[in-house]
Amino acid sequence: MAEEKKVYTRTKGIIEGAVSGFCPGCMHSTIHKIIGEAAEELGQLDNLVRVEGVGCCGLGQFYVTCDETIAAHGRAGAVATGIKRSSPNSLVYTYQGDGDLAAIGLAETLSAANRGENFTVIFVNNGIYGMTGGQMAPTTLIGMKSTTTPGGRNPEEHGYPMHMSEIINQLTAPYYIERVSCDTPQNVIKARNAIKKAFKYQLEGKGYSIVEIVTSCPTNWGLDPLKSLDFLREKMFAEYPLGVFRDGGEKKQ
Amino acid sequence: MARIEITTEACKSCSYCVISCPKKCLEIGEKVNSKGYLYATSARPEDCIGCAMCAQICPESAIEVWR
Amino acid sequence: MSSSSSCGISLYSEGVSYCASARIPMVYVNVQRGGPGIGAIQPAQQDYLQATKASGNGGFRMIVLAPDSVQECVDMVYEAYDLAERDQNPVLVLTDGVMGTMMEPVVLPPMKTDEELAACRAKFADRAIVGHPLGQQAFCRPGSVGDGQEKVNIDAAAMYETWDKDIRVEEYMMDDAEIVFAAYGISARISRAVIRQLREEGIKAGMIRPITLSPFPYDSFRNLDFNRVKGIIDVEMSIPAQMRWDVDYAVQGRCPVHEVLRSGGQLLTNDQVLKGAKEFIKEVL
Repeated sequence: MAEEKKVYTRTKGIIEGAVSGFCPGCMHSTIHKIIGEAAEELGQLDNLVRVEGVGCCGLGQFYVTCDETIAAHGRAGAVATGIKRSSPNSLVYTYQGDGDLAAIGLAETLSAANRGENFTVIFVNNGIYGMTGGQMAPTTLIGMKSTTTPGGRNPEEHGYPMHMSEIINQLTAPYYIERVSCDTPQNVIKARNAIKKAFKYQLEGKGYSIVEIVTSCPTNWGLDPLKSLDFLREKMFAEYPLGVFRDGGEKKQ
Repeated sequence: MARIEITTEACKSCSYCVISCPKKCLEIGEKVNSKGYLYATSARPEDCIGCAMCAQICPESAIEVWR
Repeated sequence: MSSSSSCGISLYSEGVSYCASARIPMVYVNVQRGGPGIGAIQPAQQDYLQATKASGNGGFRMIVLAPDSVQECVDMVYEAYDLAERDQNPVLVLTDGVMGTMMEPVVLPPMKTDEELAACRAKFADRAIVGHPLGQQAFCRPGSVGDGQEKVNIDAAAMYETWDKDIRVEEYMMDDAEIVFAAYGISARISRAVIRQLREEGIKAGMIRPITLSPFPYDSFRNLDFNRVKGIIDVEMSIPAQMRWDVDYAVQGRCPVHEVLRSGGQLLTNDQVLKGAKEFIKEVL
């Protein structure tokens, strides 16, 4: 009888024994897991630096084992610029939600992308503000209810959803842009591979990378985890299609 | 012999593992952990093939897999 | 009107400074949380100096109101509008996360009538940048060239001089007080309960509660009978203490000042304030 082998264990990128502060079904914890796994596979856990945004992403500070700081709301792009330029050999990533990256932080996000800063942006897009109680985000879908759009997002009053991967894809400097999700085991594996590729590019000094991860927010969507997966697939993926936008500096879309 | 172990204290009852298992081994059980979540359990461990789909999808890294 | 909490208020600094320079009537609320930085999400009183002395660049001043009940929160926001309109200057309501999450029954003030609102709009018609005929340009100016900015500062300073009449303070059981608590907001509520407990034990305690933190009621402290008053207890949720600076400025060392403090989102408790007070009272009484 063949000996049994452990084929899946918890990454060392997450504090041993820690239970995350994220809600049931939230993919923030999945993403923290795959970041740790990607860095571990590259042998880079000792070299990993995290710049956290403000919001639910902030709960990661009690979960990860790598060096980290919390940027002021929206300023992770600026803070990561400072860190990476002064420590070019460190593997630097920002971890931001849609409010942090696309609302209050829009200027820093686009400026860093436009300068082609050599760090990796992990952008968690759940179409809503989480930590602050479910207000409309730049990424909220038309018709989607939120605490500031109780009748559903209406374009005449509230504008249209913002597609950050597409917007950043208009800039010349960025090197790698991919949009993924974590709604199935296969997609989790794809997402981890995307992060690993982005990290690899960074280590090779190739330039700016962003992995946008379309996720659910069961709590603020008012859906249980399984129903929020349905909304994610039917509505969110329709608005934010998964795929590679740019790879190796070459536009794919 | 393929098997899994679930850290019951980390489980938040999201059910992603239940729907992801190709052999339908997993179910949300009837016992709660200290946070009050009904944690997932291996209802049919003999059917486990050690594919680790449950471990991949689990947001809380609550599942370890042997094959 | 707008409101935020500590780190968010820091983001407001530039904007408030612009409003002060341009003499824009506006009201804002700071519901204080632990700091500095992103700090702690729980309540604190760590923005006192920022609020009362330096809310933004340029040395401008504002009237700062400090409620200690939900009713005062309601009343003070209402009054803040009138003060902002009167002075054409920003007004700050400085509260804390305990007030911010408290529920108490309130009586709402009467709504302004349509005529009052129309009169308010008419008052600002010349200044409002909504379009004016040629020759009647309205310029909302947060800065000036030549000697214009100095004129803005001189006018503002003259306005600040008129604020003595706006000083508001609560003097609680002060007629015969030998130990004086100095506190605002939630710290004042806790102190009031502690004073009643001390009185039951025969200790003549009282409180000076600044209601306007700016203009500060210096005279209430300055004019204490220091033959009678043996000590002052500064109670705040800030380490290091901040309102203490204004208390010291008025008291000028004429009696000892003790501190009972908590900070960083940790709350003062009745027990802590009572214990701290009793230790100090043993020394001075």
